[in-house]
Amino acid sequence: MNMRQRWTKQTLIFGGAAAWGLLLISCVMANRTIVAPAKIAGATYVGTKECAQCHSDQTDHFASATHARLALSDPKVGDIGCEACHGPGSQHVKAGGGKGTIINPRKSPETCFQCHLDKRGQFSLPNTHPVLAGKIGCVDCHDVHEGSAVKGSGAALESELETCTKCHTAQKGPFVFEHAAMKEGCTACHNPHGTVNQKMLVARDANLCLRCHLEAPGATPAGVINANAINSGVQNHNARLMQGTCWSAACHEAPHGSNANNHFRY
Amino acid sequence: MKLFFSPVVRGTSLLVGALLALAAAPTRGADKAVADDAFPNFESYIKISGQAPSVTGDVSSFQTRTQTQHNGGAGIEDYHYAKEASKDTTVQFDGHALVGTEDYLAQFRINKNEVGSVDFGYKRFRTFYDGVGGFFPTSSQWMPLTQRLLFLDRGNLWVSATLALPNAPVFSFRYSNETRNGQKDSTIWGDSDFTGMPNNNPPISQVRKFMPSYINIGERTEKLELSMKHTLGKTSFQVTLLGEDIKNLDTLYTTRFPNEVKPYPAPASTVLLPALNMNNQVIAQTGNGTASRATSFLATTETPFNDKLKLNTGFSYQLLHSDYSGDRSIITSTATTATGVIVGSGLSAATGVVPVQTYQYQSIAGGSHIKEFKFNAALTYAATKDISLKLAVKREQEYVLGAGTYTVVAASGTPATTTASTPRFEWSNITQNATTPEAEIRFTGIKNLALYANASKRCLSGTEYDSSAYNPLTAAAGTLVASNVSEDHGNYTVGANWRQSMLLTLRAELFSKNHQNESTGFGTRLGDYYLLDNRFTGVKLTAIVKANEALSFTTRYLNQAGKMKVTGFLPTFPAYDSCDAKNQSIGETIDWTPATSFYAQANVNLVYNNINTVYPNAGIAPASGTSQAWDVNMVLQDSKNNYLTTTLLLGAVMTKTDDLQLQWNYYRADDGNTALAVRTMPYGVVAKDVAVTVGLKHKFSDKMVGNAKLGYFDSTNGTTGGLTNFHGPIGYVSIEYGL
Repeated sequence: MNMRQRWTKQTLIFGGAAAWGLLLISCVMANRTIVAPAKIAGATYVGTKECAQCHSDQTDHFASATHARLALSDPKVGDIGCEACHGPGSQHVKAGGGKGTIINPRKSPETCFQCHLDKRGQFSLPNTHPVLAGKIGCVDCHDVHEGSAVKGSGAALESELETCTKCHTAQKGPFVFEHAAMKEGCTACHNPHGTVNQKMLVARDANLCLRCHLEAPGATPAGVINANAINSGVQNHNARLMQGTCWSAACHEAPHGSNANNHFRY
Repeated sequence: MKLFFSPVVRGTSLLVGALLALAAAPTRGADKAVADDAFPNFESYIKISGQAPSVTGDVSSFQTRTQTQHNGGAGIEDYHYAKEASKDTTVQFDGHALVGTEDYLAQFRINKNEVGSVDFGYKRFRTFYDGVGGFFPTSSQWMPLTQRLLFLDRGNLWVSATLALPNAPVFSFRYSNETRNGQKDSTIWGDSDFTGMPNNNPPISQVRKFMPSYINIGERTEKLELSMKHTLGKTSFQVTLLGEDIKNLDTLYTTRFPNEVKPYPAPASTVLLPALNMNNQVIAQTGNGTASRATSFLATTETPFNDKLKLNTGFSYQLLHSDYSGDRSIITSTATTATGVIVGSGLSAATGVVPVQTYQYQSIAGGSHIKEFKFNAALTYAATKDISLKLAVKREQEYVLGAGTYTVVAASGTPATTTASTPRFEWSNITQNATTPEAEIRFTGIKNLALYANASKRCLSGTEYDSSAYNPLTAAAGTLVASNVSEDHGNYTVGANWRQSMLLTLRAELFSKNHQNESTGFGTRLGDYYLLDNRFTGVKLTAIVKANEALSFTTRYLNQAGKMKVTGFLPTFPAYDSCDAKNQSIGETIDWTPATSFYAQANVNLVYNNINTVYPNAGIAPASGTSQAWDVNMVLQDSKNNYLTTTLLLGAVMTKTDDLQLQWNYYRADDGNTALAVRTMPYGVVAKDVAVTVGLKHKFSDKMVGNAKLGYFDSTNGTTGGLTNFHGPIGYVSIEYGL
C-alpha cells in the first residue's frame, strides 16, 4: 500500500520538542495562568452558602431544579451546586461581585457544554439556533435554577409548547384545525439544539410524517403508501412522494395547524 | 504499516507520559493569588471590534452558516458600565452595536437596596437564511431564489420595574414589545419538470419539488405583566396578570413549474418549450394574518410547614381570542397557440402569456376562542437529610372553538375566461381534560452517590368535532368529524451520580417514554379508529476521569431507540409498526492543562441517527434472500442523519503581554444517496465544513487589551451539488478599554 506519510516520527518529535520549548520559554517570561473557557483562573470553591447571601432569588428554589438531583457535597466547602456551573467563586466573593470574576452561562454555553457534550456538537451543525453566535443562550429556553430544566414536563403548569412559541408565535395558533402532533410538543418533529436538516427537522423526508401516519401495509396495492391514517378514504401517495415531501407545495403545507382545512392542506 | 505506526505510537506514548508527569506540578499553582502580569478584568469597559471576511463562492450560504454578514461589520461589541451611585444604589448600562450583523443592545438598570429596581432597554439581532431550495442531481438542476440574502430581524423593547420595600409586598411591572420582521426561506418547495426524468412514464413521475420558496414575516407581540409577591405567615405567594397581544402577517411565496409554459392547444410541430417540459407556471401567494389577544391570571404559593414538609400550588387561567384572515392567490400562466396566436381577451401580445386566476380562495376569515384552566400542587417531603420525596399533580381543562369561512374561485372555460365563486365554511370544537400525577425521589444517603427517580403520567380525554373538506377547492361541503380522543403519556427517569474518587465520576440516566394517542369516531364517523403507540427508551452515560489536575476526560454516550405503532379501522387493519428510530451519540472532551501557561481542549461528537418507517418494507416482498424490500423501494428509504463534529482549542501564554489561541472546527455529514433521484428527491445531507482560527490577545496597558484573529473557512455542500460551496479568509480585531 502506498501511504502518504504526512506525520513522520521526526515531525512529531521535533514539532513536539519545539512546542514544548516554546511553552517553557513562556513559563519563564510570564507567570500568569491561562485557562480554557468556562473556567476562572486562580479561583477556589467557596460553597453555595456564600452565593446565597446575594443571590437568594436563584438559590432559594434550586433544590427543586433538575440539576440539584446530581448535587454531591464537597468534603471541604459543603454544597457546591452553584459553582458546578458558575465556576469557583472565591474571586467573585472577594471582589464583591462583578463581571469576569464568575462564569455567566447566559453569555456563553461553554459551561453547559462541559457535561452536555452532545449539545456542543448539535449547536455546531448548520441548522440550529444561533447559540454559538451568541445571539441566544441555553437559559433562554431552560430554567436551571428552579423546577425542571426541560420546561413543561411532569406536573409543571406550563407546556413544552410554550417554550418555543414565546418566540415562534405564528406556530402557536390557535388554529381552527390543530395538528395533534403539536400536543407532543415541537420536539416531535424539530430538534431545537440542531440537526443536519433544514429547519432543525429530525427527518427531512416523508419519514417525518409517516412515523405516525401509516395505513396498514397491504391494505393498498403493493408498494403504495397511504398517509391518510385517520380517514377511511384510500389515497395513493406513491407518485406524490416521488415528487417531494408531505408538506411540499400544494400538499399539506400547514403542518403546525390550518385555518382552512383539517388535513392541513393550506 | 507496522513499521510506520509502531515507532510513532511508541514515541507519542513516551512523549505523552512525560508530559503527564510534568503536567501536575505547574498547575498546582493555579490557586495562587492573581499574577502580576494577569490580563485585567475590567469592571466597566468598552470593546470595539471589526471583522472582514473575504468570501469566495456562495455568500448567502456563508451568511447562513456563520450568521455573519459577508461584507463584514464593525462597531461596539460590548459595553458595560457599572457604578455605585450611592451606598445602596447601583447603576448599570450594557450595550453593543454591531453594524453588519445588525446586532444591537442598549440596557439600563438601576437598583436601590430595599426600594426596588428599574430595567429598560432594546435588543435586536439578525439571523440569516440562504433561500437555497433544492438541487436535483440527475439534471444538475438548481434554481435558487433570485434574491437569496434573506434575513430576519428580531427586536425586543422592554421596560420593567420592581418595588421591593422592606416588610411589604413586592410589586413588579413589565412591558415588552417583540418584533420579528424580514424574510426566511421555507421547505415548502415548488415543482419542476426540469429533472431529466422520462415524461409521461407512469408510475414514475418526472416532477420533483425543489423550487425554493420564502416567507415574508411581519410579527409583533406585546406583553404587559403585573405581579405581586408577598409572604403571609408561612406562605409566600405570587399573583400575576398577563396581557398578550399578537399581530402577525406572514405570507408564503411559492413558485411551481417556473420557466415552463404549456402551449394551447397542444402543438402539432412547433413548440414553445420541449414537450417534456409542458406545464403551467404557478405562483402561489398565501397570506396569513393573525390578531390574537390573551389574558392570563397566574397564582402560585409556597408553604413550608416545617423543615421537612413543603407545599407548592399553582393556578392559571387563560382566555384567548384570535382573529385570522388571509388569501391564497394563485396565478397560472397559459401560453399562446402553437402558431403564436393569442387566445382569449386581455392577453399580452408582448409575452404571449396570460395570467389567469384558476383556483384560489379569497377572503378567508374567522376566529378561535380558547379557555384554559390549569391547577397544580406539589408536596415535598424531606424524610431525612438524605431522602427527599415529591408528589405532584396537575389538572388541565381546555375548551377550543374555531370557525371560519372563505370563498373558492374557480376559473372555467378553455382557456379560462370566466370565474365562479363558491363559499365554504369550516369549524372545530374541542373539549379536553387532562390529569398528570408526578412522583420524584432523591437519595444521597450513600457517600458520594446521588440517586434519583422521576415518574409522570399524563392522562387526557376529550371530544373533537370538526367539519372541513379534504380538498376545499373542489369539494362542495365539508365532512363532519366526531371523535373521542384520549392520551396516555408516561415518562420515567432513573439516574445516579457517583463520585467514585477525585479521579472518577460516573453518571447514568435511564429514561423511558411510553405515549399513546387514541381517536375513536362516533356518530357519522362510527368505525373510525386511530391509535398511535410510541415507546422510546434510552440511556445517558457520562464519565469524567481526572487523570490528574492537568488532564481530564469527559465522555458522554447517549443511546435512544424507539418504535411506533399505528392501529386503524379495527378489525380490518390491526396494529402495524410504523417507525423504528435509533439514535446513538458518543462525545468526548479532553481538557489538558500541562502548565499554567497552556491549555488544550478537544471535543469530538459522533452521531448515528436513523429513522425507519414502514414504507421501505411495505407491500413489496423481498426479491430474494439477499435483496430486501428496502433495497428495491427507492421512493422512500430510511432517513439518515449521521454526522461528525470536532473542535480543538489551544491557548498559550506567549509573553508577559501576549496570549495565543488556536481553534479548529470540523463538521461532516455523509448521508446522501443520489441514486434515489430515479424515484424521489434525494434529501440526504452531504456536507463538510472546516474552519481554522489563530488569535493573538495583547495587553497594551492595564487599561487596554487588544485581540486579533485570522481564520480560514472552507465549506463544501454536496446536497446542492457543490453550488453553494464557499471558502476564504476572515479577519477580526478588537480593542477592549477599561473605563
